Amino acid sequence: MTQSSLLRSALASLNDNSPTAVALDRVSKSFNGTLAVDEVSFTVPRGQSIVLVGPSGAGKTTLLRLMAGSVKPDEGTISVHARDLAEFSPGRELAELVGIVAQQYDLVANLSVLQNVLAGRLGSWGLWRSLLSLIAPRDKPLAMQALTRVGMAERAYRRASQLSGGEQQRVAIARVLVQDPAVLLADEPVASLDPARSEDVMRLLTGIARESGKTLVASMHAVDLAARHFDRLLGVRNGAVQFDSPPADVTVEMLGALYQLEGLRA
Amino acid sequence: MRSKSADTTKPRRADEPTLFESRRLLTLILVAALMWSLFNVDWRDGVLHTGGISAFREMASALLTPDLSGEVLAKLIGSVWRTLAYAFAGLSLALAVGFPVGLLASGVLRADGAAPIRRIARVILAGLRSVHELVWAWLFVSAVGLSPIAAVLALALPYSGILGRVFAELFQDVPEGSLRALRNAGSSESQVFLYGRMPFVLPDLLSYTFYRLECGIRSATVLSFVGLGGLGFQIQISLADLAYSRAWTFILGLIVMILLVEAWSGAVRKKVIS
Repeated sequence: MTQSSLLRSALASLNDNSPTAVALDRVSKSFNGTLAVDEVSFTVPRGQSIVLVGPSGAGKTTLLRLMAGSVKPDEGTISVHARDLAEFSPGRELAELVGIVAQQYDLVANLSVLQNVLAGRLGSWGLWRSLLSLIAPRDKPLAMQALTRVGMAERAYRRASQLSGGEQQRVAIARVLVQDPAVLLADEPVASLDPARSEDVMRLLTGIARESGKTLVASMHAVDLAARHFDRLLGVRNGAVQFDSPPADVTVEMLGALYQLEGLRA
Repeated sequence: MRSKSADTTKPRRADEPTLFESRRLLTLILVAALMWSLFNVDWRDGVLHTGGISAFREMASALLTPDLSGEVLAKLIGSVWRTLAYAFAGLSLALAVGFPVGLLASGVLRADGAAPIRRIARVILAGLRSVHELVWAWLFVSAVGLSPIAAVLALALPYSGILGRVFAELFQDVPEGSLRALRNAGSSESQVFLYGRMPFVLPDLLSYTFYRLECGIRSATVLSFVGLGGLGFQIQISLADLAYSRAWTFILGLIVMILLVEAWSGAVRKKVIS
């Protein structure tokens, strides 16, 4: 670690008792002139599970990538545990703050389930340790514990490509468990699963967040599923937040406005 | 996504190809050239010289009676062994050079692409593969004489250039999704290479290397015409003696060798994939 980054993490740990996990302040982002996120602001308190709902192309994925630090905002600031994400480039420190489960499961198809889960440790491993682990797995108990939590322990030595979609998503969750970030992000985690499998994976994800006291920010287009599993729904449309309320307060009219087709608008 | 609602229904005239678009014009010219050349072939006497047909007949009948005498078979085994040894040694050396240089040429080990190193590596690979193994063989034979080292180096140089270039493309051409997931987990680009790119390309990398081994065996056969010994040398001697039956023994030996390598590569590939 360089001196400045030492200083930075020392300062950060001083600030690290703020009750806010994630804070977006007037964040905007456009791609090739198309505005994907338009001056969005919201905060997520620690330990809360929230979900972004809205039609395809609303900007949910961009918002999650912004929170993951893999996309930089054009304007505004994003902070996670009181630290500005703009200070970070991809790497170990960022991986300790945020971890993401993506829409496509994004496992490495030709690696075993165990190695895919251990990839969550790469941020804290050096190059030689990583190379050695491909031959003789390091930190195996940790990975097996995570696999047991997601119910995939007996599949540890299968190739990732041999798993079904639901199983792959469980492995992706085990990987982020092993990574152990402060904030969990999940981008459409059940988009390609059938209803029963979706229910299952959502229960797993929110259950893990609850029992470890982690903050969870997910995105989804199935509102009923979102309402069953989360404390708070953010309706996103055209890159802006349209409503922000607990599931009980979300009305049919609010959803109608959220999902209305562009051409049908009066 | 606001500005996306622009008119997408109107067909764009500019995209439609016209008769005189360069690609169509080129096709027309090539077809015309083919027709013209077909009319200019002297079909009666130009294709085969007068003794050609009888020589062909002789060769074809010799195919049915390859020379299987003990002396020839012993020579066959010796020259197969030598050809294989050239090919294996050349390929191993090519792999040892092509893999690391190809890796540098791909620029995947650094997030910024390491442009200067990459350019140098690319120039090295291009230089290596732009000279054919036969030309290298002439050069090495005149430098170190008729020694196995000349044959192995002559094979290894162009093959390392070819392997390096193809490997570089394989390393670059990995779907972003799984790589992004690894980066999100905090991996450096070297770790992304080990855990993302390498597992993804390994089957292709292996099968391409095996394909090149086949090519290497054929090249080693041709190289031996230079006087380096091996199958090609034996075929050359037999043809000079007009001993077609003996020539066929060696050619059949070459075919069997290639088929065996192909079966082996198939078995290895199967093991890596499943």
